[in-house]
Amino acid sequence: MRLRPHTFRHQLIIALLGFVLLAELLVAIAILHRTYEQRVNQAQDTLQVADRVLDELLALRADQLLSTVSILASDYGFKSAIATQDGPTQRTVLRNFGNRAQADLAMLAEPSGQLTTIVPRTQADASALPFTDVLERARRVGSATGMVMFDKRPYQFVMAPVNAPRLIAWIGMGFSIDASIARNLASVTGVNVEFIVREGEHELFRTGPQSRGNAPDLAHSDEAFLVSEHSLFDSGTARLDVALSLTRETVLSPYYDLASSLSFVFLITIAVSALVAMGLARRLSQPVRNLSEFAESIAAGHYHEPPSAQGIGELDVLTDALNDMQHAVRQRENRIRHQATHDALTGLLNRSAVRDLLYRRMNASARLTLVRIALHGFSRINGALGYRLGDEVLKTVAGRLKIACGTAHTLGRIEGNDFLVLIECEPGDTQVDELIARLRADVEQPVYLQSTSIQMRLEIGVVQVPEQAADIEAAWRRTVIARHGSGQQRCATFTYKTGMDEAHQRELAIIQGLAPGLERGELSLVYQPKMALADANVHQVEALARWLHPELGPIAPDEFIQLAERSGQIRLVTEWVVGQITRDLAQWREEGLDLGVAINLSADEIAQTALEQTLAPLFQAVGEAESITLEVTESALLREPENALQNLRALQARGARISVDDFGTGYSSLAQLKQLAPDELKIDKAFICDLADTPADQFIVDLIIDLGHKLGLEVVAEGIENASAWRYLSRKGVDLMQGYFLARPMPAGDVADWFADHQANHARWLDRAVDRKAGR
Amino acid sequence: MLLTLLAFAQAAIADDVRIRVTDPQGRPLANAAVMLRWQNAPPPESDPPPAVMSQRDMAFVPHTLAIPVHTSVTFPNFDPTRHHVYSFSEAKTFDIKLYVGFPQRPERFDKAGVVAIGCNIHDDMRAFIVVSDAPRIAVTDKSGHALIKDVPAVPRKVEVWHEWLSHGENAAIRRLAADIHSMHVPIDIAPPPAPPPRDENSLQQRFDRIAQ
Repeated sequence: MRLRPHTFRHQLIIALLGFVLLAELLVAIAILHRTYEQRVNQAQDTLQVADRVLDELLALRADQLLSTVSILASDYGFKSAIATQDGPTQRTVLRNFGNRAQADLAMLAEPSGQLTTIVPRTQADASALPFTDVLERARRVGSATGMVMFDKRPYQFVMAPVNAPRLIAWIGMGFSIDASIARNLASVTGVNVEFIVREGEHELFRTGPQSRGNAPDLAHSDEAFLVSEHSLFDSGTARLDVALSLTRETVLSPYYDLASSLSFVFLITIAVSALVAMGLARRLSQPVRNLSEFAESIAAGHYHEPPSAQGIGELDVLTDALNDMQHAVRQRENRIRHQATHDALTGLLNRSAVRDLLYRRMNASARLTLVRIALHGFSRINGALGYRLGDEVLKTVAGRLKIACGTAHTLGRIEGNDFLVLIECEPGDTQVDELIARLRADVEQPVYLQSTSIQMRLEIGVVQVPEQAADIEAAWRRTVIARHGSGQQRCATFTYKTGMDEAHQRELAIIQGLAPGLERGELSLVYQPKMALADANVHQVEALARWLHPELGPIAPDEFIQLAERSGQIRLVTEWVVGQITRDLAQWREEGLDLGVAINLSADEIAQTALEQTLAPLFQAVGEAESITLEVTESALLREPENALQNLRALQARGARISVDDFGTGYSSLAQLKQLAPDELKIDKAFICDLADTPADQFIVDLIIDLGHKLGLEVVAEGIENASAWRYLSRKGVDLMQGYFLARPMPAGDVADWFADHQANHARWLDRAVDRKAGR
Repeated sequence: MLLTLLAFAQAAIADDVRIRVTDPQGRPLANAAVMLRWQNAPPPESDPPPAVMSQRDMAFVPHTLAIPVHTSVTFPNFDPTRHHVYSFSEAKTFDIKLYVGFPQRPERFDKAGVVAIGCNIHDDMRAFIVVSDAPRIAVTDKSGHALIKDVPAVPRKVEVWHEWLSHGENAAIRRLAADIHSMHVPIDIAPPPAPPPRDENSLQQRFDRIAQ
């Protein structure tokens, strides 16, 4: 098990151990400190007591020695020997009795104090007893003891009379104060005893500290810890000092014992505390760890039963809280997941969920029929009723769709009123048709809202997967295309047809490529001359747009203009055209050409209020406004007739000529023609191209020319490709002609050359015109 | 010669002499030996009557015995215990070992001098025998008096010895005129220092004290 540095368990152990350690340390320090003081005080007391005991012992020893000597002096044999007055005898008896008494020094003196004999022999002057003070005391009280210095050695000296029965002599015995005495004293007092003889500051002799244990080297190996020294005796010349001491070991060994016992107890306690702390910590931290694992598993999104109750109140509360949290998180997660995959308004699967499902089914190579559904005219419903009621309609419709689909098929709301149904089936399965029939039957019922009955109609587009779409993007797109198809066909169920998407893609490419194409100069203008038949002169050229798309190649103006209209980019095109023409006109003027220009206006442009403004540069560029011809189609007037008419009237008022383009193929409404009041009719080239061989075309053309002239309009023929058509039209009195037979559309730069060439051939063209006049 | 004769003549008229011995403060000194000498006194007898120094109640009686030379002294023991009477004195060295009743023979003191007598087994028992060649010898009684009889009326010399006299001082000597029959002799002595109190405690006393 890993012990993280700041885990609860770790800290608990540290805290408990720390507390025990601290307590133990304090107790140990207090005890040791107290014990140390006690030991030192005790030792000092011991030394004081030992001091007194030492004095007592020395006095006692003196008494004992005195008794001993007195008894010896009472010995009859001794007395009789002394009484002999014989020197050698006295000496031997003195030595003998000195040995008996274990004396280190023996003296015999006459009653007067005159020294008789001294044992052992010594160099010291022995004519008189050296220790007169002791003798004087002996004389006064019968016998006496005292400390003496003899031959620079300390002695306890005893002086006793020899009575036989009268005093016949004084006997004195000295007992050396030496190491063995010190040792004896040490053994009684329990302290180290050392005798030191000093002469002034000069040390004559010392016994060395003697200890109880009769182990002299101990005294040397162990330093004296406490020393009490005082003087026992001072003879005037030499001094006897005694030093009582205690070694550190003696004084402090109980202290050391206590310290080691405490250490042992300390260690035991620490060990026990550590075990207890670990046990306690485990008991506390195991549930915490269980809880944390539980919480981590919740965080990881796994849901389990919580750890069982631990019997520790707070932890059980925490467990309950975690469990509650787990339930809350699970509910919220479910809700979020539902929201993520479902549409909030209708409760159906949402766009991403449907796409997800479709993606997975397609990846699984399932055979599907996708049915894309929309409410026809829903934006009108929304506009009329408001979004709130629109949402009500959507809810109602969603409910109906859901019922119709049942559980067999996946139904989702993509956005707005856009729905998709996934049907798992083989191609040709009848259940698709059955479902669609059911949908129409169920859903295309009126919806009643605010006492309004709204008729529902469904646009239904069908795409087979994978036959009609290999990938999800294509499938998605094509359902939309198919549904659009349905919408355009009055809600008939529309099954996607192969290629629709590609056309759609081309349109998209064109729409998206138009603005960049204009910038990159992919579009250009070419000009086709319009020749007046009367004088074979060319006063005007028709501007025609060309687009060489880098990927799609040349794009016909009909195609991209229509798409520009649909995508709202037509004004962009018109502005570009106007700008280009303006520049070309300026160029031609420099080349000595004064030309008029015919431009084609699309239906959208005509209806735009800004048209006049858009065309304004053109009016400035041409010499006179009559040289501008605006070519419009009949259908252009259909969309927004009032705006269109207003615009055209205004432009006509400025001097521009209005030409009806492609006349004969549209509605050819004469009422409209009257309303429009154009200056020119332009016969659709469909009637011109095979004119010579087609009597019907000839008839129509005759009619149009006649109509135009009767209405006072100029009639233009375009698309003239051969001489026979030219001749025919010349004969019939067309006013202006254009076509390959005269000139192909040409870039602006070629126009000057062409004009030069035309002038060169002018007579020939004039001849033909003459032909016409002749033919008439 | 004339003087001698005169003296002799006077001596013909013998009389008693009374001597009183005191310390300087006039306190009587008992057991002092008093010896009278004069010129031309007859020599000591060769066989004077024997004397007795008995032991009674753990003491020598008399404490001081003054005898002429050549006197034999018997030391009868009247105590129930044995005694060992001895002397290491120069004048007479002897010992009579552990006896009861009468010793086998008396001791004869042929040499003048002070003989200190002791008992070897009872240290407290001591006595003195003053052996003198003086013609007249006496010992003072408790009142410090000594009566010396039959002294010729010649100039004489008085010697006084007391045990308190220190060694070397054998006696205090006074001259005494022939017509003087009574004399006060103060001698310059003091009793020896009292033994330490502990010494006074006899063994018995110490024993009794422990037994209590």
